[in-house]
Amino acid sequence: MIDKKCKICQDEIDKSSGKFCSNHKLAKSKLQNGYELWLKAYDSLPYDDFLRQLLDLGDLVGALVKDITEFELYFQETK
Amino acid sequence: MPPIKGPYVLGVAEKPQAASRLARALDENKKPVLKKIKGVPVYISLRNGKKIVIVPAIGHLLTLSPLSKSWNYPVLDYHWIPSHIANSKARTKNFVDTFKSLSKEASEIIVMTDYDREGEVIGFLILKYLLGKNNAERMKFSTLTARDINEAYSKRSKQLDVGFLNSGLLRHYVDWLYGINYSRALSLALKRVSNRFKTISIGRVQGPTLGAVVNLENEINIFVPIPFWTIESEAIINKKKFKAFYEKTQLDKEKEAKIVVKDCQSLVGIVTDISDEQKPMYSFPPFNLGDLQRESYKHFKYSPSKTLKIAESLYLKATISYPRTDSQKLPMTLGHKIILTKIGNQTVYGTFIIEILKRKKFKPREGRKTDAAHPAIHPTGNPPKTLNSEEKKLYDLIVRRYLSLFGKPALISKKKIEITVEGHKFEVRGSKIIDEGWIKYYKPYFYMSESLIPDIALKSQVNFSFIESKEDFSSPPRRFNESTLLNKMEQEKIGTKATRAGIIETLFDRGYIGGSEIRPTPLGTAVVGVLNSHYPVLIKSDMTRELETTMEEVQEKQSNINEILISIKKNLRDSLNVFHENETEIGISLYQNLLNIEKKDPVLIGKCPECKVGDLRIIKSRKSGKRFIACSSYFDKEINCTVTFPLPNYGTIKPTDKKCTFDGLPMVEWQTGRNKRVMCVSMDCPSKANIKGRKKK
Repeated sequence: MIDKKCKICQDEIDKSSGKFCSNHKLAKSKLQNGYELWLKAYDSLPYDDFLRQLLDLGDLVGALVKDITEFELYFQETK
Repeated sequence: MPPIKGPYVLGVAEKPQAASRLARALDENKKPVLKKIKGVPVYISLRNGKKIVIVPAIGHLLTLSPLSKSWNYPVLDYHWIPSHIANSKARTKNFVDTFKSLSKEASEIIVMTDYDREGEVIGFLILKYLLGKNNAERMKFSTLTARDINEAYSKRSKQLDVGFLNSGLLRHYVDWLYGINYSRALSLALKRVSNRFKTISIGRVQGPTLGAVVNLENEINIFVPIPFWTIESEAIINKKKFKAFYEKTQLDKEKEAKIVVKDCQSLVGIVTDISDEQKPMYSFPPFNLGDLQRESYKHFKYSPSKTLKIAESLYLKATISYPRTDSQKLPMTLGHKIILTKIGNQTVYGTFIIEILKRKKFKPREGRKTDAAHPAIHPTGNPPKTLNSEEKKLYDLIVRRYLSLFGKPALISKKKIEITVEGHKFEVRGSKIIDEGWIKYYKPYFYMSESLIPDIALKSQVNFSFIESKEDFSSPPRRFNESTLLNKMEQEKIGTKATRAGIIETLFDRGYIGGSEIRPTPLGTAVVGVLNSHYPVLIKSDMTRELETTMEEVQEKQSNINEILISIKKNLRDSLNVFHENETEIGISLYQNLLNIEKKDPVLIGKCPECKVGDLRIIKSRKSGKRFIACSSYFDKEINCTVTFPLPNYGTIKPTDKKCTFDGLPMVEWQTGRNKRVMCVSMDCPSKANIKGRKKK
């Protein structure tokens, strides 16, 4: 059965995302754009390191982005 | 028998304090007779053999009310009724009765309310509905000084200001129509799908303002900081160290920053350019209300509404001019030399005034903004007696700003030394105040730090103590505070100078926003969320801005408002029809959002002191709608803990980590508007004895 709840907040999922609600879907896309900019800035940076460094930045990181970061880092089964 | 024997001229004032000043100024002996009618202070002045009876209102004495009694929408028909009939808490009945009783013997009527839209509407409604007239003479003044009042009396116009009146009335009708209809529509949409009644109010200006707060919060929630690098360096000139600024304020790549540091590792540079220029610095423009509110927030942290309240009190004490103004103009007709001389009698400003009077230049610096009704905010020169500490602070700010307008431009010397290290340019910057000019008068509200750099010749060698790169990250946008939210409303052209502060206050009071760094509450977020997906027009500025423009045009062109109202009502009816069609969808969405908030945020207060197993959480009774604290083990059949604590039914309750020192129970934070209180959850706690005692008294 397909789970229709957001993996993070249990809200209704956004149909086009299949995994997250619309808010977390937007946060996920911001996170991906952010990673591209971090890659340009540092030349090379593994994705997990990017996520860990992001979590170290505390309140600078948006709450929804933090949710996604933690989910990707600790709960994602396949990366 | 009439309370005062006629015939007399009946003066309509806006407030009791204003009535007192008007009466004193208009009486030949400056000693008007005070007579209390039903507790309302009525002043009788004598002037050239004429009796002038001045009666105060207490703001608006009438209010709009729907003609139909059914609680539905659209509501498009209304009438004016006395405020005390619409709201039993309004203390306006005696004022209404006094006006009515004095109308019979009045031979002439003069409206003496504040000269602006609201003043015109207050005067007109009293005339029409309490005195039974359609027009009257009008006194127009910008300060409550005897000089201005007497001039306004002798130059009074034969009728009310049609532009102000129509624009003011239109604003009342439009705000009322939008407020009542959309608040009813939202509340009914929720009730019809959930059978749960909750007043969800939204207004024409409130919607976009709340929308701006929620949008900013959404932006902050999805913010990803991006790294950047700065080059930090320190140059040594004549054995002293100075911060040197690299030619690029930030570098986007780590590699680039490392290259700069590597290139500059010799730490030796050559002076390649020196510039030294003196520039005049002009004073800030005179205060209009927005500028005063911003400056007052900056220096005293007074909210915009508090500043307006204090400024109004200073105006009623005749120490400053009318504060609800957009103007940055101070015409010469205000008599600046007289005002300055009077201010000179106050010892704090005495020495400044001597200097200004010596210069004999009495034309103040002005800004660009204008206002048809009033000049910029300025002191009247009247001695500020009986001011409280907050009034004193604001008065000082206004006087110093006014004095600064007569000061010479300050003269600032700015020196730059460019140092090149292996092709990379650095700059050491210094500044010095050559002549303080106006800054002297505006201190301590303006401060400029000086940094003096020594003379050095071109091509000299300069050593650096360090040149390093520093990693940094971009920051999310800053949340609004009350001052920046007011700015945002000004930029978006929503609301007016007189209403903006009140709108922010209302959003706090309705529990849509909170905190000094303003955040939307879950309720505010839910309302905007629903409107955004189903009815975005209510949270976007466009419609409100267009209506503001229409209302401004009515004022300028003095146009008839009936046709405009018909078109506004038609648009409103159409848009409410659309709302009605989507009502179920909107109701469901609103209900789900509210449920989500309640589910997501079961506010946990702490462990239950009784069963020590369950959590204390805030519960809202479905029947009564009242909230209270209860133990989660109530639902556990084996424990069935029945511990409860009552809670106030308004304001926001938040948990804290604190325990009460008296009984060890958890403490909660109770916020109403801007007021916060941390209190024990128990009603019987000894810490609440004082409050109970106060209530009994």
